[in-house]
Amino acid sequence: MAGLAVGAVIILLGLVGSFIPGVGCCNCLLPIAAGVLAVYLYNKNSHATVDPKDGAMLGAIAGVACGLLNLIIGTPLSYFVNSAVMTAQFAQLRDQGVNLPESLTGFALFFVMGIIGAIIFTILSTIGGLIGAAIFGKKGTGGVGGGGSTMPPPPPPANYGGGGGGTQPPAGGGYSGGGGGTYGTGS
Amino acid sequence: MPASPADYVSPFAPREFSARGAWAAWACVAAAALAWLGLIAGAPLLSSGGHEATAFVIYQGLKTVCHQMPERAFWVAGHPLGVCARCFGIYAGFAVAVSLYPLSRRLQRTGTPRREWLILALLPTAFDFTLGITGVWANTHSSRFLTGAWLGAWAAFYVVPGAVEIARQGRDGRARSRAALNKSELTT
Repeated sequence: MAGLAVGAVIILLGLVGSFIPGVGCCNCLLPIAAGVLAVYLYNKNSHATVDPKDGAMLGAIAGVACGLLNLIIGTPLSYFVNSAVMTAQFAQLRDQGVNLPESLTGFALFFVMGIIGAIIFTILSTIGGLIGAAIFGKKGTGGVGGGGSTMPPPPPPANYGGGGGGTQPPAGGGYSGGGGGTYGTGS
Repeated sequence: MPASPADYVSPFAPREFSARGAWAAWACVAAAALAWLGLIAGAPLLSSGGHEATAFVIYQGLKTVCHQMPERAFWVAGHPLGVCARCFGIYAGFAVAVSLYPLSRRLQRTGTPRREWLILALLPTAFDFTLGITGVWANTHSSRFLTGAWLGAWAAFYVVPGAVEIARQGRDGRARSRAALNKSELTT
């Protein structure tokens, strides 16, 4: 939901910006900001650590949301505003001898551009998510999401050291904790 | 058969990520950043080289993230770059910083600078943009490029450690899967 909300805000900002001269200059920062904002919102509502992988995922979701909303809202709007200019540009290119597919005209062209835009949004927003995880993710001893924790390490399981006689580990301990411990792999 | 106590590895023990994995993660980020820069710089070169259709697709694709005003862009071979000077600065600064990153920090270190540094890095661009749009100061190609490059370069110090960390987590995940598989094979 955070991704979708961020996407909507970013698209609205982008649409407003595209009609104000000079403001569109910051459009490349908008998808990046979307990723950062998605991580911030997620982190605010969750006590879990946001590691870079989560951040990148959140950023990508925000980017996809941005791209889809752009496709739904921005593409038709862009078509109505810029279609005459684009048609003229296409005609000019064809006059120059450029072999452009005949089917790629009008709304189809804008739709293709919207899909390319969605891919670019997703890439930039994923980068934003990485940055967001770095600046908003709770840091432990291992750096960014390095699995660090202030919790004491859990004791080894009872069957270490030849089994029998050991005490059971307390409930809640164990190996598959957030740190991602390994069992005798010697990593 | 139970494992020996010597084999126990605490999940909280500090782990060193292999240099090879860190270098691979860095190489992926650097390659992507340079490819992106190549796409931006390639559009005018393709256009001047007669590959108008390819250049057109690149220009239109990049239009979603930049206004592409020709008077605010650097020109190469008689055509404007795919993005404006500020955006090009951000991407160029990022690509250069990522490329030189191993010279400034150990790749295995996944800590990042404090968030205040990123905000400070954003300030020159924000000032340049705000003063320009309010008419207080007429910014130039150079000011837009340099302030953008400063921001992009700082961003690299947040992105590369994240990419290395993701690679490390991926490797740890695979190691856990292998360990679980070995354990199940031993018990069966």
